[in-house]
Amino acid sequence: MKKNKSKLDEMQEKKLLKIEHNTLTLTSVGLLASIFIQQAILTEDSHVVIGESIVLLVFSLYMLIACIRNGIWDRSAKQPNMKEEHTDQLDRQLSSCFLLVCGFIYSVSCVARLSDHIWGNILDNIYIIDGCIYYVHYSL
Amino acid sequence: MEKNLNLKVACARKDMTQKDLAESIGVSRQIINAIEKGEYNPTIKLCLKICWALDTRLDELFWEDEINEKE
Repeated sequence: MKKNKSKLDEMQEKKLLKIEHNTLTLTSVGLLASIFIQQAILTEDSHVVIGESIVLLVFSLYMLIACIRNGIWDRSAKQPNMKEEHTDQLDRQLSSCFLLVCGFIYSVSCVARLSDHIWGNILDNIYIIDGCIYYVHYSL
Repeated sequence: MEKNLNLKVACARKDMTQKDLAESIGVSRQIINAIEKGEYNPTIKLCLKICWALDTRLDELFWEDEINEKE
């Protein structure tokens, strides 16, 4: 199928990208808030938020992989200099991988009904805190 | 960014309004207005289209000294 050619000019395209960016930020923060509220305040049953968690995990995974593939680690940081910022870059890579692993284990724990156990609860907390840090770091 | 007076002058020299120029290069009038006001930084492709439409060179319309760029 042929894709419709955009009839917007470049300034409108740029504005649309900005609008989409804001929408995505609002959506992802809202999703994270809804998970947090449902799990921490309304109910302790993790199965209620499986759908939201999977969406958030897929979204985070996509963002993480896209950033890694393009070598983008931080908006405010200088372009990576392998000699000077090697440690800093390694730190970011490790924290990203840590988030990925935590998110994966959390999803598995939801499905495998591990959340009733102590490890499930610990992973819940790590995931939520790490998710908050991730969003503050990348989205806002 | 500073106002792009060169663009305004070039349009006047060709007796073209913002609307005429916008229509000839296939963009909205707002984008031409934003470029003139210095509110929008156009891509090199759009700069070239404007130059071809106004029969001018790129540096005549869009050249800025380094000091202006830093500001």
